[in-house]
Amino acid sequence: MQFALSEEQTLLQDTARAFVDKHCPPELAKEWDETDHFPWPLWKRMAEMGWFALPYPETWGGGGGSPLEICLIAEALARASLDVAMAYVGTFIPGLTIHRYGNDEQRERFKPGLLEGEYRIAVAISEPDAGSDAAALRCAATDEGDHFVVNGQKAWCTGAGLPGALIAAYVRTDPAAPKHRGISLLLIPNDLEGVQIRRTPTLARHLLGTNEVFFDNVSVPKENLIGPIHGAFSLLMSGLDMEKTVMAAAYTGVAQSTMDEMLAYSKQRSQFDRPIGTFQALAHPMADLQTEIDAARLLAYRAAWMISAGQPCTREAAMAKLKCSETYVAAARLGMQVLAGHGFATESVMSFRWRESIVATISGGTSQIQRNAVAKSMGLTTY
Amino acid sequence: MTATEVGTPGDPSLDLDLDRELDSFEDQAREFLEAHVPRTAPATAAWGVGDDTMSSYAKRSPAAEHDRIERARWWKRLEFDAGYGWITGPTELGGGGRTADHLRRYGELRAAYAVPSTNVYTISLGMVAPAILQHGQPQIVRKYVTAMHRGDLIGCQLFSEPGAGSDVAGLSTRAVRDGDEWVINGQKVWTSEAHHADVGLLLARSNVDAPKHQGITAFAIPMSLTGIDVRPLTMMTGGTEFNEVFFDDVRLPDSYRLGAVDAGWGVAISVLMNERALGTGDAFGLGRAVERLRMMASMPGLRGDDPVIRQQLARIITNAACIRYQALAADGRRKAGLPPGPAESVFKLANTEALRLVAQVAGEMLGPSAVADTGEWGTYAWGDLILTVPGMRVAGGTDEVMRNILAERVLGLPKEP
Ligand SMILES: Cc1cc2nc3c(=O)[nH]c(=O)nc-3n(C[C@H](O)[C@H](O)[C@H](O)COP(=O)(O)OP(=O)(O)OC[C@H]3O[C@@H](n4cnc5c(N)ncnc54)[C@H](O)[C@@H]3O)c2cc1C
Ligand SMILES: Cc1cc2nc3c(=O)[nH]c(=O)nc-3n(C[C@H](O)[C@H](O)[C@H](O)COP(=O)(O)OP(=O)(O)OC[C@H]3O[C@@H](n4cnc5c(N)ncnc54)[C@H](O)[C@@H]3O)c2cc1C
Repeated sequence: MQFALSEEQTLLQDTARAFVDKHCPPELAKEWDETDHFPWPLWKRMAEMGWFALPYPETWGGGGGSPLEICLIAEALARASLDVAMAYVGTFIPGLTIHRYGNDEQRERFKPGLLEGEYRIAVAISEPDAGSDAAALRCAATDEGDHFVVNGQKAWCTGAGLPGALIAAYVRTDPAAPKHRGISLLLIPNDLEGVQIRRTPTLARHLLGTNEVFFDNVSVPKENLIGPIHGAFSLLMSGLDMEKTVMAAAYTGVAQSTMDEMLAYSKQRSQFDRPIGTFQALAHPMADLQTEIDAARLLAYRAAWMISAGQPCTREAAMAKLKCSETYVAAARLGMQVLAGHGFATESVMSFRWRESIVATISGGTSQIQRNAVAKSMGLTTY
Repeated sequence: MTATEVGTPGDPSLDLDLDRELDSFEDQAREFLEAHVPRTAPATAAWGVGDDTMSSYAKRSPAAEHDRIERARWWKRLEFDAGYGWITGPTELGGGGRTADHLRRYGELRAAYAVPSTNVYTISLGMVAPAILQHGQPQIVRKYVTAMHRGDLIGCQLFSEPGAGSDVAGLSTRAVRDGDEWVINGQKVWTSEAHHADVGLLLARSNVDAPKHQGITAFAIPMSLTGIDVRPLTMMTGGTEFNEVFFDDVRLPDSYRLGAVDAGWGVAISVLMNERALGTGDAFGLGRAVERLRMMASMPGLRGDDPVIRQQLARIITNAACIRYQALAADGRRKAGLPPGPAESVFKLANTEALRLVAQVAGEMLGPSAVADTGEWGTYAWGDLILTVPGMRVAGGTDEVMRNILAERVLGLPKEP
């Protein structure tokens, strides 16, 4: 067994951390969140670092990064905020789907934009009545010869409102088939006629913003169909383990950042003539938390390693998502307690952590859904 | 065994008289309530009806904030003038001069009516007014206490400072004697409702040479004095109910002093005990939150039939019942003339822990609609409570401090080295 990172990986980690310190410290990430601001310059800088190309194979002009390396970047970016990491991860995950399932023409067409992070791709699976049960989606596309006509509504479409965003919409193309078998994937530019986007007010995650999307007779050219017609449910599932794993790493990054912030505060803040961190009532929960974070991180790294090794890891990725997101919530909760009054005022980064953490156990598949997956792997099918 | 003598405590006929008197009091109170406010809608019909706010710290527009204060004021005045605003207060100050039983009866009755929220007065009446009444000089008592109970004036608690939170006695705001006046300099922080307050309950250091607990003096301080600057702070919820308060050479007559010079710590302790005792009522809103959760669980599609959720709901309802019974016991002690003591720290701890669980379970039941506004009644409103809970675990003494009090003062364990 080997726990050490390679020299190259250590370098990548250091670079990514330095990048965050310089270009997106938590205070700045908080400000972006409070002003609903998407930081395009940061985006460009990530592209310059080659991070958007990293997940794609070298033979295609990509960086050939392993899942673990991508995890290291996501983990470092999340030290700023989960939202910043999410903006990164959310772009290449659907990009990889295009790369893997697109035809040659599509791959060439989208290549520069994908490698350079030019596209913001928003994934539209969820609908008002299809969340955890994604296959129940109803938003429909009908075949009109050289194009599809899309009608329906999507919910929680993160990033769909940013200028130039492409919406990767999972739509029902065969209403007669069993629910898993009639779904297709269409790329829909958000400025097509008939696309209407309405921002949903949320507690946090304001960088990308999440939206309701309405399609009213939207014409989508056939060449924007990715993968087999009616066969997109497996596409939807295929990237999921990778997404969960990378996001799990991001959750440990932001949990660690939260830990570091409360630790620093607990050493500097004195009450009753001693640093508050020296009260066991705080020292022990902080020790527990660091233990939890280390355990969570190992779960994320294990899943990443399994993906690299080509091993199935649905169970392990679900465990990682479950544990890491819950650990972020626990970290923010303790952080609020350690910072007390200072934490509750909006000036503190900790207040931002708490706001942001709440959604961690919901988006990307709720904790309950991860538990279902783990239980299922144990032969316990719940409902 | 001897029979109880007629006319002494324990005499059944006396109890009956008392009961009769209480019943007629209740009848009159019911008439009053019926005349002015609607009854609370039954839980089954209440879903989707009216205001779905879950937290008093929720973000409000200036208009909504104005409305909150005006409605609270209107109600307080009406209630006071009808004789129900200060039921147990001394008659010479406009109180009702009645017993704790009357107060309880009225409270139970009122719970069935949709009276406006009066949370802007919680600190004012729960902590500030009792301190002025107990420790103030007669003209100050007359100036403030009646008007506070009538809701005409609002009080705030000026204890915490940037450097003195849990360790209140470490405060450094200075009060320097100058003839018949005191000159106040320093800063307070996280002062709830200071921006609405007319009078503050101030702790300041009057003697820098004495040990820290023995150099503090308490004052009632008019918030309109020259040199006081109140700056609202935004809370995590987006609400602006707490403030920084700065004192720059504020001159305060000695007649506003509460208790003896350098004896402010005793005043502080009595206030903090009253603060803890607030938990025996429903100052934290647990009862309401549990009711809303129950309502939600009975709505189709909101997972009330999920076994894990059902277990958690059962736990919540059990906890809430335990808290209620404990509160009744505390009420009994109060009636027997015992002041609130350190044991009541358990209420604050239990209430905030119970609310934390309520908020968590609501979040689990609602999923995204607790954190994103889908426009559906009674869903995103929980987001405010989720954001408020961390503040509740801090305001009025943190969980850790409550546990220290229980450990040291109730269980008699040694202090942490
Ligand atoms: C900030 C944010 C961003 C998002 N971004 C995107 C995006 O970009 N694209 C996209 O397609 N979606 C996105 N989502 C949607 C997200 O994937 C769904 O919200 C999630 O899958 C849950 O679905 P739902 O909202 O319909 O809740 P529901 O499925 O209705 O779930 C409600 C509650 O029931 C529980 N539950 C459901 N089924 C079960 C079961 N079988 N057993 C036990 N418990 C169960 C859930 O855990 C949850 O607590 C986002 C959500 C949020 C909050
Ligand atoms: C919403 C809100 C409203 C408030 N309203 C008012 C108000 O109206 N008036 C007012 O005066 N104040 C008010 N406060 C302030 C509140 O009383 C203080 O925040 C609280 O007492 C804690 O102080 P602190 O924030 O300085 O935390 P600190 O005292 O710095 O505590 C930091 C951490 O150290 C822990 N700690 C401290 N001492 C010990 C110990 N001995 N053992 C173990 N752990 C310890 C604490 O539990 C906490 O986790 C309010 C606060 C909030 C959040």
